Amino acid sequence: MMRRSKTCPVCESGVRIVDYKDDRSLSRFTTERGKILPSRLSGMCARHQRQLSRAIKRARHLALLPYIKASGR
Amino acid sequence: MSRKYEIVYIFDSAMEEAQITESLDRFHALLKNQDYPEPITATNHWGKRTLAYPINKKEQGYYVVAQFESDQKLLYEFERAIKLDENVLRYLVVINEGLATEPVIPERTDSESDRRDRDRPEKKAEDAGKAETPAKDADKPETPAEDADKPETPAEDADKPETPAEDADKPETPAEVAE
Repeated sequence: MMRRSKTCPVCESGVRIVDYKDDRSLSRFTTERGKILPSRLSGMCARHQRQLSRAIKRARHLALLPYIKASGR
Repeated sequence: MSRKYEIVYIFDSAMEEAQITESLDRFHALLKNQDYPEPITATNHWGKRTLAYPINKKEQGYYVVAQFESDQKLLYEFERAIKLDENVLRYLVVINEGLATEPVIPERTDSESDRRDRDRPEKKAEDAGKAETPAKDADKPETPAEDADKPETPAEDADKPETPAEDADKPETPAEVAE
């Protein structure tokens, strides 16, 4: 499990708006089952956590990310 | 009121490319009026991709991203036409927040027919032949560049860019001692 980093990983990388089309980056912030990682664990700032959760939900709708990831993968 | 929007379509991957272009033209024609003679500002064909889960029992979809400017009133008719088309598995219209389609695929305004496949491991073999495979990670703004300016990052950190800050505290990190 990812431990909390002190600074927001999204702020740190200089991204202002989280892109829902970038499934690779988004998948970093999901658990192995596909749940959205809480900011408690990812260290996201509140602003980016909100953006992230929306982006992940959009990506799920577009089948870029799974709603539930299969366990045997 | 006019706004900038972005739409992602997922077409049935069984469709011919010409059919898809034809459908797109048909949808986009609905956005045209005297205020917006050229509503579409960008289109980007991602090509066939494996869906994260099956939609209508289909495992693959043909993705197209387009950006346009339109009036809200025109949007209803536009979305209705898309909903009625059974070849569109899914679509999503969102307000364009200045997110170029670039993070995923480099964008060109003249790329109407220029399709690019993403460099993904699960890609089908038939796609691999015509894939241009752009150096995708190079244009991602959010990827590991953050690590580069950290003096104390040991080599192991390179593959987990999301937790670099913790290591700053470890006094036994060699680079730290050197300073």
